[in-house]
Amino acid sequence: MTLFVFPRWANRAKSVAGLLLGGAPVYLTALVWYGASPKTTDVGYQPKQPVAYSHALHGGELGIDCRYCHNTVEQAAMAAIPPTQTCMNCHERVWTKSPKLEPVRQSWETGKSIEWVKVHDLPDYVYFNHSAHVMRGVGCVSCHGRVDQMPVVYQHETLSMGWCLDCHRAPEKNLRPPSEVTNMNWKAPGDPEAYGKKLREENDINPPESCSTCHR
Amino acid sequence: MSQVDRKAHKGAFWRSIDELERSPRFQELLKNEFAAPFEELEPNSPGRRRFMQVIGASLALAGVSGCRWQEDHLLPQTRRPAGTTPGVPRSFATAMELGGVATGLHVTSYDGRPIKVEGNPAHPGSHGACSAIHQASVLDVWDPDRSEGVCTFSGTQRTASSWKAFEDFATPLFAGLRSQAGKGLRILASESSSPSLAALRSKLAEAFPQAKWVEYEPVSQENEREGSRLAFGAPHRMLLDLEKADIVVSLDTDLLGLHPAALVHSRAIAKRRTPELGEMNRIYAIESVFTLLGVMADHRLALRSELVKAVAAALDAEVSKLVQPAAGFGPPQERPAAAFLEDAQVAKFIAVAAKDLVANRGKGVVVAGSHQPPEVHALAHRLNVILDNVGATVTYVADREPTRPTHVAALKSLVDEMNAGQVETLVVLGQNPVYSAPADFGFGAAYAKVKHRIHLCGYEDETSHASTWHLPEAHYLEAWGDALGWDGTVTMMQPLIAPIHGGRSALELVALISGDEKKVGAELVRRTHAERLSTDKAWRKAVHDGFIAGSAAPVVRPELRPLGKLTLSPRELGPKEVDNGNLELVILPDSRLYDGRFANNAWLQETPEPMTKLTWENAALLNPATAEKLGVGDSTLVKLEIGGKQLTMPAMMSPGQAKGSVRVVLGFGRTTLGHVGGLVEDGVEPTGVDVYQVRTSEALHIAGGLKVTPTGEYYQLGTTQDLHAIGDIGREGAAERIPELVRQADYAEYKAKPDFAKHKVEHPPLLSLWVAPVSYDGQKWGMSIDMNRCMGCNACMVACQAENNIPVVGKEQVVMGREMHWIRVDRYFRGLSDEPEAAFQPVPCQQCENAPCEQVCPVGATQHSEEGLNDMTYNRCIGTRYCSNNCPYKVRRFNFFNYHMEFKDGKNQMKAMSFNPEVSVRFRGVMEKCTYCVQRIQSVKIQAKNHKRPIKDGEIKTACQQTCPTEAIVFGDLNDKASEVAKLQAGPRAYALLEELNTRPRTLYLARVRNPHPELG
Repeated sequence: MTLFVFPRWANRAKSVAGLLLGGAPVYLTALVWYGASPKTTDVGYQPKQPVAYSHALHGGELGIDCRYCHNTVEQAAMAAIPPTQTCMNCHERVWTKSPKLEPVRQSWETGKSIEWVKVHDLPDYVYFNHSAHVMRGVGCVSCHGRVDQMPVVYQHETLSMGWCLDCHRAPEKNLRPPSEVTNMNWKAPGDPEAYGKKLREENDINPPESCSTCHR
Repeated sequence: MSQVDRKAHKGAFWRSIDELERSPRFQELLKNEFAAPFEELEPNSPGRRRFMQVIGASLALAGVSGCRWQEDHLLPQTRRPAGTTPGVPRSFATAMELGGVATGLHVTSYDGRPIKVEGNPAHPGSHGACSAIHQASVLDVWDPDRSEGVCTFSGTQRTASSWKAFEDFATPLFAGLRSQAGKGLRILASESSSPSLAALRSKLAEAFPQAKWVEYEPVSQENEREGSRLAFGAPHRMLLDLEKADIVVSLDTDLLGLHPAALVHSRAIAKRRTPELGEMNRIYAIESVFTLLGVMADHRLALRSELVKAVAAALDAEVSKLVQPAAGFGPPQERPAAAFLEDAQVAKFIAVAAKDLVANRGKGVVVAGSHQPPEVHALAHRLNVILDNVGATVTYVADREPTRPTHVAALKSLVDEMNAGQVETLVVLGQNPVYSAPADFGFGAAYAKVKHRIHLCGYEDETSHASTWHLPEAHYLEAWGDALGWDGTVTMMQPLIAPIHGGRSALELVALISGDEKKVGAELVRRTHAERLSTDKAWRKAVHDGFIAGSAAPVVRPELRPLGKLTLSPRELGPKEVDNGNLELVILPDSRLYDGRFANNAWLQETPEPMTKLTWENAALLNPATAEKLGVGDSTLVKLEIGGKQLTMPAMMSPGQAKGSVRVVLGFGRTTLGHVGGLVEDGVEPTGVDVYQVRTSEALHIAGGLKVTPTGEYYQLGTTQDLHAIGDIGREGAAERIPELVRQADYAEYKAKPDFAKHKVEHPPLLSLWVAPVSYDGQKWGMSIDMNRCMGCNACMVACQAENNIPVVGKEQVVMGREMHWIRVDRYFRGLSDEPEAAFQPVPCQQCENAPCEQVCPVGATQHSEEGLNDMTYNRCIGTRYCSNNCPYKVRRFNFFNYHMEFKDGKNQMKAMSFNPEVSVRFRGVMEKCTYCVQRIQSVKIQAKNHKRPIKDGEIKTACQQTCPTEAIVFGDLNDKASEVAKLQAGPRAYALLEELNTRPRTLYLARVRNPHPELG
């Protein structure tokens, strides 16, 4: 029986294999770090919606206030998705024949809900309250981005816990007068940092950082 | 008990006989704080299967759904009803009727789903409180075992059918019956005070003059009713104003337990058990079974129930001697010639109680228990009249139907008619007589002789299977209705949800039978009240409020009739101690399952019975001395023989149970119900033992001539009483500590030194190694629990379970100490084991400022909040259980399994609908505990801040606090010095549990104060 002898090229292959083995953990870590981060998985999430509704058109061009449709945002945890009725307030008269609005008309006739796909989807163990933020002067744009420029809504921020805490620890840069929350073009007068500080003091804003603020 | 040095225990509190006796079993328990290791649990043992069958629904995917890859959908309504905001719970007034008495409730609806029951603060029968049964009733709406539709039975053959088919069958049937004036038609119904049902009944009587309406309840106030008939010539209902009562003498009654007005009684009596609010009352309890009132009592005399009649007579003799009643009231009873009455202890008890009643004329109450015979009630009425209590602490309202026969008599004549073949059609509304009728009636056999047997019920139960038609009954939260409160207040019921399985209410079925032109519950109820609520506005107000204000029955003052000399049977005369074969059997409804109708409710099954702490079953309770005499060991099976019938069930020693008396409870042993209570055909054994088998019409509650034969066979009881032993240094340590946990003094001591509780424990100055992590500038939440008010009713436990999505684990897990209740109610005994005193102590998480749990968590899953809560972050928890090990109060609960596993499959998915969406559902391997209902705190805080207003004191109520009938639990902001909780915590009676450990708990207890009569001491 003859002994197996590695061919000569195996010597070079050894160093390559070593490099691969040594590099694998680094690569895997980097892959998971990047691949599983909310920045990769969540930001830019833009599912196809059952109705080709354009926020850019309604909110941007037509200038309809966010609260015309999301009318519970100042009272409740949820900024409710509007009922079909809200669509029909206008579309009973405008674009009554548009094929794009067929699902809306169908929903109105049958009483079956339009199945919108959730874009900003927090885990079930997180209890976010819209009213608590909007009433203190956190603008829609701070979390949702320029929805008035989105023909199809996508997720603009990570909505990760670290991202939430960044603001809870230093809310100044995201504060504005509560009357301006839906204004997408609002700019702080003067130094934004100083103006935020002033608003924070005026409105007595002390965002809590306890676990039970969001987790119950 | 022989090895126990009885003297050594006088004055000290203890928890169980095992502990008192230092039994090997208890030592084992102490050694092993977390009971059996979980490897011992076979994954597929029958026990585990039972717990899988048990309630559980959970959002099993809760942890996963946050990931991006699962697409979530948002389905807005097409038209949003005015006044609704998605995701904001709303509350509606309705009521629950039990045994013909309605309790006003407020039910929380979350996006159209009823998820939580609270008391209606304005309703005179609730005052904002509700019982464990009310709290748990919401779970039944979502029970997958509920009847899902109409079906027919022929022999054992079950065929699914429909309401349409039933109507096609019923229309010609009842038309035919109508043409024969209703000959052969009988209706067997639950007792109901519904004005709408009464109106339909009179219509029915017109259309079917020969038909008969029979009312039957296995558990009822019939003895009270008959007792008032004896005393006044016509039945009356006795209303008590316990807030005005300085002296309460209970003749074997549980005013605070299953009494229909228990919520009213407890609220009133609690005000008189708070020394800061004024003079305390004094309670004397003469009873066989330790009742909640007996625990609260200042003096308790344990006597067999059958002896109470002689005691009542002696009390009448004693009192009459002192007050010299007017001749018109007839001669008083002579003191019965019974040897036991001459027993020094008994004689003195009666003499002192009589003296106290006379000294407080017009400010006392004598009341008899619903299981005592009518004569005892009549004597109680007589005593109240001659003591001038009537008009002051006692008032009367007339009975609705003074001429109706008693339930048992009515059922007996129905059975006779069925046996004689005179009944062709029997409609059973809601009741389950095949299971619950007295055993001597042979109801099942007689029922089979009826041609058309129509059964309306929420479950396909024992009676359904013996019927020809089964019709699904709408749950009370699915139906319109009305009923009267205990004081006669007209109470409205509105549905919270449309009938999920197409059920109909009894009202609707009777309307169908009588061929009424109205078919829908809402219209039927509205028509009944058309006169009183003539305008839309008035109707809407009544529905909104849940009752019609000022509609209580008028108070009457019936004339007391002379009561002849009572005849006392030899049994009723004693002796004080009886031999085997002559023992007494006391049959009572279960404090949770009632007469058995709530047996498929897992929350109630797992609620520990107040005194025994038994879950998932019933046992025969014996006094330890009696058990020793009979040779019966604790937790062994015994054979009970009575009246030629026998029953084998586990025996349990129950300190405080009268000697010679054995107590059993109804409601268990259901064979055909569901996967919680028992469904034999599906392989689910019943929980507990069916006691109806030995219950006869002559002895519905108290039966003599019982023989107990020990089998010696060990039986593992599902009790929680030895679990969570505080302190791990053995019995001595525990015995030393218990008096420090339950601090108690007599009223005189309290008056001399109100802050006695603060001096019970001496400890060196408490210094911490830790710097306080937060300064608590904003709110500082705290709680106080008044031990003098707490009566151990368990309403808080079930309220907490409903509010916080707490799973049920099953008996096998309970035995291992894995029950999940966030608030437990500890029960301690004090004194001799045969005639002890007792005390209750609810223990939720104490929310320590210097919390031992926080310091040991390796992953920071339990953290201190800015307001001083010990926050539990489920997602961080990796299940080391260090926190629970380090918790001196043993209030942390661990999810050993995914108790919501079976939720994923088919039918069980509906269970998820009962969850409170404001609270995370926990997964396997996660620790959990009381949060002070942080979801309620956050919700109020956010609303208050949105409107830039401060939080009002009392605006945030924890679930346990809101439901507490005695208002024993108070929650609020300690930084607000004007808040109620801050005042109570600053009060003299406040003390912390284990304060010497320097945990600085936020929950403080208010010490117990007893008010004994100086002569009884």
